[in-house]
Amino acid sequence: MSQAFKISGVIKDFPEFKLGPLDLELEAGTVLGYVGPNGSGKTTTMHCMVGLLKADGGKVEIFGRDNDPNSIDWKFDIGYVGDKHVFYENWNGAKNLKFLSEFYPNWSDKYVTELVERFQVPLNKRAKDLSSGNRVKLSLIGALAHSPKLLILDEPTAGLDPVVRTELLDVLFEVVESGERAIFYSTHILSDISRIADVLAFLDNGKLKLKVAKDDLTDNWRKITFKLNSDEVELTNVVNTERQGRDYRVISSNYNVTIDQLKQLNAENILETRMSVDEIAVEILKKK
Amino acid sequence: MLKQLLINDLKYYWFVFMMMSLPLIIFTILGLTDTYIDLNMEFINKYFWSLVIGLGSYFLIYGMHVNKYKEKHDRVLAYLPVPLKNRAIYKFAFGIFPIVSIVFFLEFLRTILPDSLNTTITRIDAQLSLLFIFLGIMSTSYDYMKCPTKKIKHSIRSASIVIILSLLSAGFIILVGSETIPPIVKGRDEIYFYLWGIVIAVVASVIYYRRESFV
Repeated sequence: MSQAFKISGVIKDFPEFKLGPLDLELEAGTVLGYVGPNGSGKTTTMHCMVGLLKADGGKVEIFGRDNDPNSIDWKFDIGYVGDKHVFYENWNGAKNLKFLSEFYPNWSDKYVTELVERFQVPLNKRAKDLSSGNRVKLSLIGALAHSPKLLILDEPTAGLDPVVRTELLDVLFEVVESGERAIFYSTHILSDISRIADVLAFLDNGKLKLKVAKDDLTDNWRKITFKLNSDEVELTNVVNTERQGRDYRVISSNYNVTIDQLKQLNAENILETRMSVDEIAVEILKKK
Repeated sequence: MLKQLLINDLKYYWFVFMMMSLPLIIFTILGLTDTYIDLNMEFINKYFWSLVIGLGSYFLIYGMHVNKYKEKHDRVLAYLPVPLKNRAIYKFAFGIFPIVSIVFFLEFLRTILPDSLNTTITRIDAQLSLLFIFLGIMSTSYDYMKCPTKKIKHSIRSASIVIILSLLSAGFIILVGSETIPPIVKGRDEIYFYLWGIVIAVVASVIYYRRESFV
C-alpha cells in the first residue's frame, strides 16, 4: 500500500508555541483522525502540509513527492478544507467553483452537480451571503471535485448542525470506500472520528502523544474497578488511577495484562467496562 | 496560469476598472470637444483632472488591494496548484498593471488631444507616479509582516530601508529633479517615480516569494 503522506521531523516555531518535531504518516485508503485540544497544533500541521506555512524544519511528502511550493504535481493529489473557508466573496458559489475548476485538469462538473444537489448548496448566492454551513459545503465541493487522492480536512464539521454533519460524513464514507483515497481529518468532535477514522493520532501542545488503530484502542482500553488491601499498587499499562479507601478505579490501555496483574495481587471484585473513543481520547490527552 | 490569474482579477474587479476608466473617458471626450470646465477657483481649475484621475485611481486601486488582503486571495492561491514563483510574478503584474495601463492610455492621449492639455496630462502622470510608489510600499510592508518570524527584526529593518530610500529619492527628485539628473525625456521627471515604483514592485514580489505564511 502506498503512503498518502509522510511528515518527518517537522518543526514550526512561533513565539509562544512550538509544533514538533513531528513524525506522522498515513497509508493510502485509510482515514486518520487527528485529535487534540484547541491550540495543540492540528491546524499548524495542516498548514505546513498544504503550503500555507513554511515549516522551520523537517520534510513533508505527499504520495512520495516533497511539498515544494514551486512544484505543483503534489497539489493535484490533495483536496483541502481549511479552518477558514476562503472565497472570492463577491462571486456566487458557481463562479467560485468555476474559478477553481480552471486549475484542475481532473475537475468533474458532473460530480459537482451531484454534490450540489446532495448538499443543497445555493450556488446562485454570493459567497459572503452564505451561511457558515453552506460555506463548509462549498469548500468541500471545491476540495472533492478534482477527485484528490488525499483529503485534508481541518475540523470540517465545526459549527454544523447534526443533519448536515451526517450528510458530510456520509459523503466522506463514500470517498473512502473507493479504496485508494485517504483522509486526514482533524477534529475535537470525537463522535465524528469514531464513525469514520481507522487510525487516531493524538496531539497535545505540539507533540504527538499516540498514534494507534481505532480498533486497537476500543479493544484494549478499559475502565477497571477493584478492591485491594495493599496501600502501594504499581500496575503496568495503567494511565489513570483513582482510589477511595480500598476501592480503586483505573484506566488501562491493555486490560488483559492489567487484570492478570490484579489477579496475582489477589484483588477482589474486578470489574472491567468498555470505553467509548471519546472517553479514551480524554484520558490520553489528560495523561502527562 | 499567470494569464488565467490576471483575467480572473479583471473579471472580479471589473467594476473598479470601469470606475477607473470613467474619468479618463470624460477627460478624453472633453479634451476632444475642446470643452473646458471652469470651477471659478484657480487651484481647482489647475489640478482638477490630476486630482480626479490621480487620487480617484489611487483610492480605487488601494481599495482593490485592501479587498484582496481582506478576502485572503493569497491564501486561496497558496493551496491551488500554482507554483510560488508564478504567484510572485502575478503579484508584480497585478501591482503594476492598473497604473501602467493608465500611463499608456495617457501617452496615447498626448497624441490625440490638443497640446494645450499636455501640462494637465503631465500633472496626472506625476501624481500617479507618486501614488505608484505609495502602493508599492503598502504592499511590501504587508508582505514583510508575513516574512520569517525569527527574522522579524531583519525584516523590519529592511522594510524601513526600502521605504525611507523610496521616500528620500522621491523628495530628492521633487526638489532637484531634472536640474541635476537629466531627464530621460525632456520635461518628464515623473519617469523617475515610475522607475522607482517598478523597483518597489519588484522588491514587493521578491518579498512575497520569501513569505513564510499565507494563512
